[in-house]
Amino acid sequence: MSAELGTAELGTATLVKAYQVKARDNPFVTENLNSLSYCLQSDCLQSETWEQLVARFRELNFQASVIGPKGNGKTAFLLTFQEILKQQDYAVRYLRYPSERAFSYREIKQYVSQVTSQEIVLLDGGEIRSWSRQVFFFLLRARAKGILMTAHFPCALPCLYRCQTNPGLFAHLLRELLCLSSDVAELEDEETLECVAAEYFNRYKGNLRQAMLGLYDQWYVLGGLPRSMSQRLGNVGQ
Amino acid sequence: MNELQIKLEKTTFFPGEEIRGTLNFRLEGNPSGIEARLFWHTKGKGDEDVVIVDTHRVETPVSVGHSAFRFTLPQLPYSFSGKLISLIWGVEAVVDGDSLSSLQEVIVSPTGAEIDLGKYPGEVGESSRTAFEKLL
Repeated sequence: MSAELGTAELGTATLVKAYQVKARDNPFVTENLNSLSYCLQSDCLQSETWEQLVARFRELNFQASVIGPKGNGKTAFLLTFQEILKQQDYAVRYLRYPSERAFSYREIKQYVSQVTSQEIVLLDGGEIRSWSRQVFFFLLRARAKGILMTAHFPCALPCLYRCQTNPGLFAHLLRELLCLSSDVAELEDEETLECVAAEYFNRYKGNLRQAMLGLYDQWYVLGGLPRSMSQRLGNVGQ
Repeated sequence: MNELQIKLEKTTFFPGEEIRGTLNFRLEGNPSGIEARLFWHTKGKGDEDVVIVDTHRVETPVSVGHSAFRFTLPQLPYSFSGKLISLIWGVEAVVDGDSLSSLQEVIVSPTGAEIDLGKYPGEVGESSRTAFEKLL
């Protein structure tokens, strides 16, 4: 019961004291979100290791796609995969195709001319539908050693990996994120963390990036993870 | 073991003021140089920005030594924090071809403290620019 009382006290204290948290002190800042590595173990449907994924990418002649809905970790996958490829001495180039505007033909030619035939291009934003993105893709594919492109649905390139999320993965990432701020990690108990992960996973329909941005706003107001009313009153489990 | 340390005379400055400091280092191997950088960056809910304002290079440093540096701060931007974004000034030192680095955050503000946008009612309903205009 003391733990429940502690939670209630913590919840009340948090509500009273910690509001208007500065952006620099918010654990859900973009810098922290971008530093999270992709977690392969979270997905029981696909059990390949990073090394096995590299081997399969090689078998696919370095032409493949990473498929998944928005906020399901495609960018994190690419960035983590980039590091794995670099460790194996591959020349890699990461490019985030801008979603807010299309590249002009001149920009496309200029960028593609910088890519060498030894490089593997990791193209983030490959799911964007525009003629310029298509042109970009075809020129890159012809020039580079390989290309790994993100997509929302199966596309012209074979699928190397399918990004999926679940509440357990979200809880794991939250734990990792809060551990980045050591002063915050001790504040949050495991039960609260899992409740929040489940609630926000459902609220944002599995889009973990949006869910974390939702928690950013909550943290600003509460100075901690949002607690249910029963937790605030110390009635957990009753 | 490699060591790199930034020592500043103080950590709170007015816009336009001079930052004076010293780089202290103990390095194994022969790095081609050490660079101290005056910079600011943003941290928050959106994309991050980083701007390097000035640099000070130490070419072919001896293995143990120190080097004094001076940076003159510009008039803007100020150090500030709000709900969506914090702007943070700092002096960073990096060794060429090495992951060794050192960072010292500083405050740049006409009030002597980081501007807290939460104190100005403009922040939530209006733009940060409006909040700044009220401040000025």
